[in-house]
Amino acid sequence: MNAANRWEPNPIIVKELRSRMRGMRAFAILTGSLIVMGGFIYALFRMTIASTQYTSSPISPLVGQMLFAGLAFMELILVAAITPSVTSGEISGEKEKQTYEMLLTTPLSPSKILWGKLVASLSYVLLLVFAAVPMASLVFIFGGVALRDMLKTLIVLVVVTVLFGVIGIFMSALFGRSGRATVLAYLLIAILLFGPLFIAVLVGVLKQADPPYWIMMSSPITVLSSAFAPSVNTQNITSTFWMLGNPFGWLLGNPPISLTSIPRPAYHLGLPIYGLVTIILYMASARLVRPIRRWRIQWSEAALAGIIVCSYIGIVAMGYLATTNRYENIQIVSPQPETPEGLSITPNPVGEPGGAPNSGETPAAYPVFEETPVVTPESPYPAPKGSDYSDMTQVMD
Amino acid sequence: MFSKQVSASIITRELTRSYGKLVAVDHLNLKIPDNSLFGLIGPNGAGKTTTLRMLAGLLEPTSGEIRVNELSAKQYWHEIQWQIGFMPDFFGVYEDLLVWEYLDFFARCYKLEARRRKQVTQELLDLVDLSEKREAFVHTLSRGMRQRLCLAHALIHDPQILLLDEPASGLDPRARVEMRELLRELRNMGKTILLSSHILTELAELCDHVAIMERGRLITSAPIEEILRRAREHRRFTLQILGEYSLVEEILHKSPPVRNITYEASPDSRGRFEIEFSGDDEAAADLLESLIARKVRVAAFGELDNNLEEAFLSLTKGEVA
Repeated sequence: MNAANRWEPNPIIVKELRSRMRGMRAFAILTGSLIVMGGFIYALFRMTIASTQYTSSPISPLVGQMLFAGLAFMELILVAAITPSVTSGEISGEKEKQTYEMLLTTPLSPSKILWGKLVASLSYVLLLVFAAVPMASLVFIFGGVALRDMLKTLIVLVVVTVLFGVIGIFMSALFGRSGRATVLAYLLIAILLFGPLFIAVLVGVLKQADPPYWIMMSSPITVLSSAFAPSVNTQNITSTFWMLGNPFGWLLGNPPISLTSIPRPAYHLGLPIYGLVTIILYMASARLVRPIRRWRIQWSEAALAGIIVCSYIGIVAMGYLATTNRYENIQIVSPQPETPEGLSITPNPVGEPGGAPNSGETPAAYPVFEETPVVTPESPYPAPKGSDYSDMTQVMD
Repeated sequence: MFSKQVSASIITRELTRSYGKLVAVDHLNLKIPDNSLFGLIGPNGAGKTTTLRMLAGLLEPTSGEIRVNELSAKQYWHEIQWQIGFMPDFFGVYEDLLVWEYLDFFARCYKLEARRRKQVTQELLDLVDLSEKREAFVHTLSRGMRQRLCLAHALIHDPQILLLDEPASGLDPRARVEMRELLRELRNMGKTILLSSHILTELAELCDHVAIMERGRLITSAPIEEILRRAREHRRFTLQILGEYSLVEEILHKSPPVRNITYEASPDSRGRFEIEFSGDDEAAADLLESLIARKVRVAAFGELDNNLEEAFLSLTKGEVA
């Protein structure tokens, strides 16, 4: 009709922001969360100082790493706690307030309603995340964390936030009742966060051995840890949280080096999976918000969905291929490769649970054949952290 | 019946909607003439709301078709959408929004540009008499004000057709009168208004066409004059007498406008008749006169609450069953 070609913001976003950011509530929550986080960071700071007063290693980067790791986990918990409560009422709340039908009779398409709701609610949660970024910059005073790892951590947090938000909205669209949607969104997110860790512990207890690392790969906790693991010296965290030291060391430690390649960090696997789940849940929600003809999918829509999923998988695959040279196909240098019969793998020095991140794992320095015991390097533990990292940036990312 | 010469803006053909086994709307054939105030009447559960929701595109018909301005709703929904304004029977308001923001939001939904949006919002607030509440929070409005605000939202894109589901429910008499005035004004602006109600009298003075539904079926659809005339043929009187009832019964049976009588004896020998009567006031006076002429001691004689639609429904009972 008189629809101008000019760009206008999505009405839902305008409305949601108007009502959400009005009054004291939004700012009170923001201030409250920053105060809690600040208090937590200060406690962590005192704790690190106290626990490291007799160590010989330089203290400042250690504090920085500690604060950063603490802040990252705190943010993750905050996001997991707040996102479902914001998003899981978005669609069902409209239904409960009996305003949804009024929306549906407007030319606003259901998918646009969904998009507006998602953007509006996520922008609020992301505001909380980004408001903590200045606090994270405190880390620069102490040093010890590379900017690159901070950015990676932030990216992981944003992706996880979007995933949590979509889970909430999906539940909201699926159940149409805010109460049920909220409970199920929290439940699903809790399972996603802690389920893999729990299973890993269970497997570990049952087998009386270290459980395989891949079990935990799907947990955002693992993914987040892997994003900043290169910067953070696990040992210090382990010693600070002496009771919780082992789990932390285990989380932050990288899996043992494999026979043919350096393993990819967990976020290489986690982020694409989260992205895919996000896309699929979003598309399912876009069907669920329709009033009529919900599951009568036209072939063109099915084709479009297929194209989106396939192209996403394609992009991820291309990313994998592009980074192949850094992780896979790495020549394992061996002086006598012509005698493969006696192959056996050395117990890996860096792969111990609770061990240091696989610092200094330049492939050339890592022959893994028994026949060349001479080349096995010394334990990398004493290596100073900073120099480790500079090596690794060339190798790992 | 009536729509031969008038162009109909909404036509439904064999419109059916069932929820599982329950058939909410059963082969409904409606013709809603252009620029009319069309009332849809029926008791609760008659399928009024279902019909309106189908017309508003919120429900898909199980079978049958809807045509709006000659266009099939199934194919041309995106065009038709711009011509329909819908006000649901139960509706909510957004917390934390001001009255003007509420209308501004819906104006944005209809893609009005900024300047037009401002103008339309102000005009509509004037129309529904809420200009003073412009800066008030929506949730502070009274029920009547909310109803008017909801009506304003349905008008934001200047639709040609308005679908109003029970617009007067829950309103006090004063607000009801205001709503009626508002609807008249809108009709004079050239809009076609379809509204539902379960009270015929409420619509009688407002609508020019009425359709009566029961259990999903259309009982009748006619101009209001005809409906009223037919309903008027069907009045109920109560007659209380002292003494013997057989004489009275005889008189009543002889009187032509009396269609049916029921007698109720009460312990203190006062009888009460309920008379179904199809005559005008003149005939009623004649009946009373003849009773008194025969020395019947009449304690009370009066018309029962003239519930038009109940009378009408019982009149047409045969057609439904």
